[in-house]
Amino acid sequence: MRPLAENRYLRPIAWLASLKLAVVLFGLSIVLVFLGTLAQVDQGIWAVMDQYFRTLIAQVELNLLLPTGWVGRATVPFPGGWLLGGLLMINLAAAMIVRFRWSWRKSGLLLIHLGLAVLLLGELVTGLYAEEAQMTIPEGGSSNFAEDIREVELALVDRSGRLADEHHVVSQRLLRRAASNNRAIEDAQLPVRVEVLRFMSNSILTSATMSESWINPATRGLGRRFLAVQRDPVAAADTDQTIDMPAAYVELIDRQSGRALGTYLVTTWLSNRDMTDTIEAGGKRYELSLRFRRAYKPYALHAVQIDNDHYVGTNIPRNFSTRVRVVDRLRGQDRQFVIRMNQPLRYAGDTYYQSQMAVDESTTTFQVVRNPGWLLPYIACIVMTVGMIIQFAGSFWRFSARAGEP
Amino acid sequence: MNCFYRRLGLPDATTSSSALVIMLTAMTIGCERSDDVRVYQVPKTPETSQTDQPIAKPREETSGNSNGGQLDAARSAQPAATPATPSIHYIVPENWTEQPGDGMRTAAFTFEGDLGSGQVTLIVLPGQAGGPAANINRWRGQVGLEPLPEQTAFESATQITVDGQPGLLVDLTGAEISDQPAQRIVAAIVMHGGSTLFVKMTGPAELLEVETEALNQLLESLRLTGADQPQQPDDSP
Repeated sequence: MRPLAENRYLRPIAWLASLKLAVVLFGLSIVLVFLGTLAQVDQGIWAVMDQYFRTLIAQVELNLLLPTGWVGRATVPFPGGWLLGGLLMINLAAAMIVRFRWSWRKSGLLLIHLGLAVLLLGELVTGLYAEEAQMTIPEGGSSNFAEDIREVELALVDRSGRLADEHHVVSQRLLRRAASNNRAIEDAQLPVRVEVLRFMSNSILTSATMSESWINPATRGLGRRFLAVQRDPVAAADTDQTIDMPAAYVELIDRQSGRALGTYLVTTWLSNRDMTDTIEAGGKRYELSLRFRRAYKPYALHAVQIDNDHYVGTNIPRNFSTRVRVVDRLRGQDRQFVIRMNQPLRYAGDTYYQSQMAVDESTTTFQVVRNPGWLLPYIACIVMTVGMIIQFAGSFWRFSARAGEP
Repeated sequence: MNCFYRRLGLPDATTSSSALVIMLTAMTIGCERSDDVRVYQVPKTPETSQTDQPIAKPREETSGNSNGGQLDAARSAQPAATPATPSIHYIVPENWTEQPGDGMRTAAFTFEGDLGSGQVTLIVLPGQAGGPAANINRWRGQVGLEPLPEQTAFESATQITVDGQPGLLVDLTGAEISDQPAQRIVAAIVMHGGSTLFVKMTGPAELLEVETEALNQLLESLRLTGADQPQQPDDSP
C-alpha cells in the first residue's frame, strides 16, 4: 500500500505529525501541571481546574514563581489544558494518517493509540458536561434538588402557579461578566433588567448597624439590615475547609414598566437561612435570592433512616448509610435503597454517593454526580489493554518463531 | 477493508477513523453549554411541596432568659451537616437599658453618663465571620486607628474565657478629633460551635472607663448552650 503522505491532499498536514511537536506538547503539559499544582496553594482546586486545565489559554500568575512584591498579581498567558490536549489529539491523528501503514501486525499499536484518544476525549466530555452537586436531607425529610456549592445563580421564583413554580435563573458567569463590564443583564426570559453593581466571590455578612463607616449600596429589602463585605476566596490549603459564600448588589428594573425596583443585597448567607426578598415585576411577585446552583430532579429522595455507626468506644466511623425511598412519578417508581460508603445509588443517570452526615444522625448529605462520559475512561483502558496484549503477544510470537530457526 | 473504502472513493480506514476522532473533538469543543439565563418549571407535587427548600436547616434551639432577651444563632458556612445553633442567656447590668432586637435578632443595650452615651451589641454570625483579625482591623478603622498586619492584630487581643469557651478581648481607643472626645471600642469575640459571638461596647473613651466593669459582668453572666462542640478561635495566640 502506498504511504498516505504521497497523497498530495494530505501533504500539508504532514508537519502536524511531527514527533518534535509531540515532545514540545508533552513538555508544555508537564509545565502546566507543575504550575497548576503551585496555584492550588492559594486557590481552590476547582478554580485551578477552570483557570489552568479546562480552558484554551491559562492565565498564569507570575507570583507562583517570583516574589509577589516584584510582580504583584500580574499574569501571563500559557497554553491551557484543552489547547494542549486538543493539539496532542491532532498530532496523534495526523501521525496515524501520515506515517501509519495499516497491517494486522500494527493493529496493537493502533488500538493503544485509539484508546489514548478516547481517554483524552473522555476528559473533554467530563470537563464540558459533568455535573457534581450535593443533596442534604434531614431524617424523615425529602429533597428533589441537588446544589453545586462551587457556583451560584441569581434566582427569581414565581410561586403563583397552581401546579408548578417558575424559576428564572441567571448564571454566575453572566453575573460576573455584567459586574466587570458594567453592562446590564437584559433577557426576554427575565421579568427584570439586572444591573450588577458588585459581585463578591466570597464575603462575610455583618449587621448594617454595626458598620456605620461602610456605605450600604442597598436601598430596599434585607440589604438595609445586613452588609456584605468582600473577603478573599477560600484557598485549597485552608485547614478549615470552608467554602466561598458569594454576595452581590443588584439593581433591578421592571422590564415591562421600566420602573426602578431598587438595589438589593443577594447572598448565600441569607438564602441558606431561607431569607429572601420579594419583588413585584410585570404584575407578578417573585422571590429574589442568590443561591447555590440547583439541579432539580424529576423525582424525590426521602431519607427514611440515617445510620452513623462508630466502632465501640471510638470515633472511628464503621458504617455511614442512609435508607432512602425514591419516589418517581414520571417512571412510576416508589422503591427503597440503601446508600452506603462505597455503595452508591445509580438512578436516572445520577449517582448518589454517601458523603457526610451529622454526628447526631439528623441529616445526611449525598454527593450527586452526573457524567455522560463516565464510561469513556473504562472503554479507553479496555481498548489500550487489548492493544497492548495484541502488540506484546505478536512481538513474542515473532520472536519465538525466529528463535526456532536454525 | 481498505479496498472497500477505495471503492467508495474514501481514504482508508486509518484516515477515516482519525478524521472521525478529529471531527468529534471539534464538535465537542464547539458544543459548549449556553445556559446563562434559564427558565424552568418545578411541579408542586406532594413531595416537592415538602422539599422545595434550601439545604436542610439545623435544629434550632432558642430559649429566653430572665430578662426576655433572646438570640437566634445563624447557620455555619458549611452547607452540609451544620451543627445546632447556640442559644445565649445573659444578665443585663443594672444601669443598662435593653433595646429591641434588630436584624439578626441582635441583643442591644444602651447606657448614659455625664460623659455621654454608649451602646453594647450582641450578635451571632455564622462561621468565622471573617476571622478575628479582619474584625479587629475593622473596629480599629471605626475609632480612627490604622489597620495592623493580621498576626499583629491577633496578638494585640487578650485571651479570655466566656462560659468555658475560649475568646478574645479587644480594647481600642482612638484619638480626639478637634472637639470630639476620643471613641473607644471594647469587644469580645467568642467562637461557639459553628458560629461566632461578638459582644461590642462603643462610646466615648472616658465613659467606657466606667462601664468596663459592667461589660465584664455581662460576659461572666453569658451562658452559651445548644451547639455541638466548642471550637478554638483560629490563630489564637
